[in-house]
Amino acid sequence: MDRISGRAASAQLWRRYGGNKGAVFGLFFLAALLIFAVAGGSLTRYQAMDTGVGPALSPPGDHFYMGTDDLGRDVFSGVAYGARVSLLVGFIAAMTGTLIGVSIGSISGYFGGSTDYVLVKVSELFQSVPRLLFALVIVVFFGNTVWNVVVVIGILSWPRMGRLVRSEFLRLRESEFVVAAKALGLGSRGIIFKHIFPNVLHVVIVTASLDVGAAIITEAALSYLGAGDPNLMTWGRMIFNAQRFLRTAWWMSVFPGAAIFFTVLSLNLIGDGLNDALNPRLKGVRR
Amino acid sequence: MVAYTIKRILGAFPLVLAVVVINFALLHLAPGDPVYVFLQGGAGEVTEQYVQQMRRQLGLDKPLAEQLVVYVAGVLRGNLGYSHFYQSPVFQIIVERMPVTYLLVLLSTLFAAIAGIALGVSAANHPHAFVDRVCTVTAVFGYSIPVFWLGQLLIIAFSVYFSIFPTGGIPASALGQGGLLDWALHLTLPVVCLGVIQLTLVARVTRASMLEIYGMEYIVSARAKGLSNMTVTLKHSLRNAFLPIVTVISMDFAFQIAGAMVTETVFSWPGLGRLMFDSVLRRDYPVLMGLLILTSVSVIVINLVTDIFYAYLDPRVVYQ
Repeated sequence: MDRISGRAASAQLWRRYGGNKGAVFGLFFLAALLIFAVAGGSLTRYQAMDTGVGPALSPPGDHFYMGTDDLGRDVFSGVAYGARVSLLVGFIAAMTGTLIGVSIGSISGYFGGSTDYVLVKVSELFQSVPRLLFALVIVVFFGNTVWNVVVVIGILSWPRMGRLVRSEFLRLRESEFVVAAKALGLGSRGIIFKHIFPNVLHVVIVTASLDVGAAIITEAALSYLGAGDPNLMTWGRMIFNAQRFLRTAWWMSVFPGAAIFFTVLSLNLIGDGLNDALNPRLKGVRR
Repeated sequence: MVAYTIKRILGAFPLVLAVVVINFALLHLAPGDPVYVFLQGGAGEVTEQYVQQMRRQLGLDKPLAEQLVVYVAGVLRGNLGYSHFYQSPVFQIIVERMPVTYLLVLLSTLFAAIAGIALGVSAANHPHAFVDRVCTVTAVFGYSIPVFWLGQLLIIAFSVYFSIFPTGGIPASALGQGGLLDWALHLTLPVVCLGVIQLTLVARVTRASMLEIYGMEYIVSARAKGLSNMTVTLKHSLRNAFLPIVTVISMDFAFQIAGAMVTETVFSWPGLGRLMFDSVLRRDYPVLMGLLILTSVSVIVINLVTDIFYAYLDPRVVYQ
């Protein structure tokens, strides 16, 4: 593709993406969140973990925008700091899952036969185990550090990606341009990377953006269940802390929860927008 | 059909076996000596002599391959180990708490199925109307909201602010006891919390599936010969749109079990989720492993039953 038509194609892509209001909202929200995550402590008055910076359980006001918790920690600082942890965990875990899913899916779909059979069975196995419970057991067994959480979520989240990539490979393997490439004597590696993979990329991008959101929710659930990293302030952990104070301090639950909700919502809307932009024929198709 | 059923049942065995083997592997891959896993939560000081005795008793001094065989055989006979905290076999602890959890899962699935299908059908019947928008918008929300936060919001709104429902717990220690109204009040929030996300998924799938059927020629001809809208919707369309709906409901079963565990934690519901939460805090490894095995096996069984049910609904499945 030469430079001018490449630019035209990307302009068209942006136009299609921009036509989706939700997707544009998602992009703006995520961008704002990223600024928070990177700037972190310099935008907040206090450190997330510092106790007693104000009176315990004081409601949201001019000084503590989101109130304080039972130990007098600033909820706003916690939410801001939690953005960093959640986004990092979400992105790295989703990248791990994507890497595994794409590798397994493409090998399985391209080569077929007994390789495919074994890999399909393995992914079936992964789908039979309740993911959250499995993640919980592994984190409890191997230690609740943030890296263990990331690795576990990554390892457990590949089946959806694997299944989708596999079915795309199955479809494209029989297509005319692949048959032609084979007839011209191109090896498997060339066909997989140069001819099939670029046509699967849109599925990978969309699924990966949904996986980031799913990973953020799983991490929050693990923290909520008391298996998060004790040295980090995360949104899930704040909601866990809020559980005992629902009667007296709604703000301890509402703000960190809203942060998770809007972050994951943004990622899902971005995924939908990308799907419409990259794959206009399949508008609205998901799962 | 019988051959298909047998084939599917036989096909589920390797999965069950694999789940058990994964558990065994976890036990041995985890840092530290597996014998301590079994001694976790026990009261008092553990002497070296006792550790040695336990090791012999559990067969942990035998070669790994022999241990695996003993372990698998034990699990298949229902021996999931012993919890020192509860002073009773893990299998018994879990089975005792199963009914309240399954009550929650069953009711919320029922709620999600009925309300979801109703919402999806009316959205398909009124494209671009308000209910159609609700159907599409809530689906994205359903993907994005964490169950435990939704539960807390429900408590803050309906238990604290409006004080209609209790904040959690169950009215009596067993299913047979307590008044019906009391149960209904205690069940409402957890059932809604657990069911509402699945509801949005069911609605979305129902809508898509109905719209696809509405485009078919036999529906056009059914309408053309003057059948009422109700007949066309229910008899001609919904019946044929059913398969994807059944799939989405059963596929999410694994998700619902995990969701139930989180929901139970929010509402202090004394089922498997509560047990899981307490066991995490206590590091009660045998109970956690037992939970993992039993919930995985129930997911495999549910998937199996759905597959067979599916084949009865649509005989074409058998020949694929």
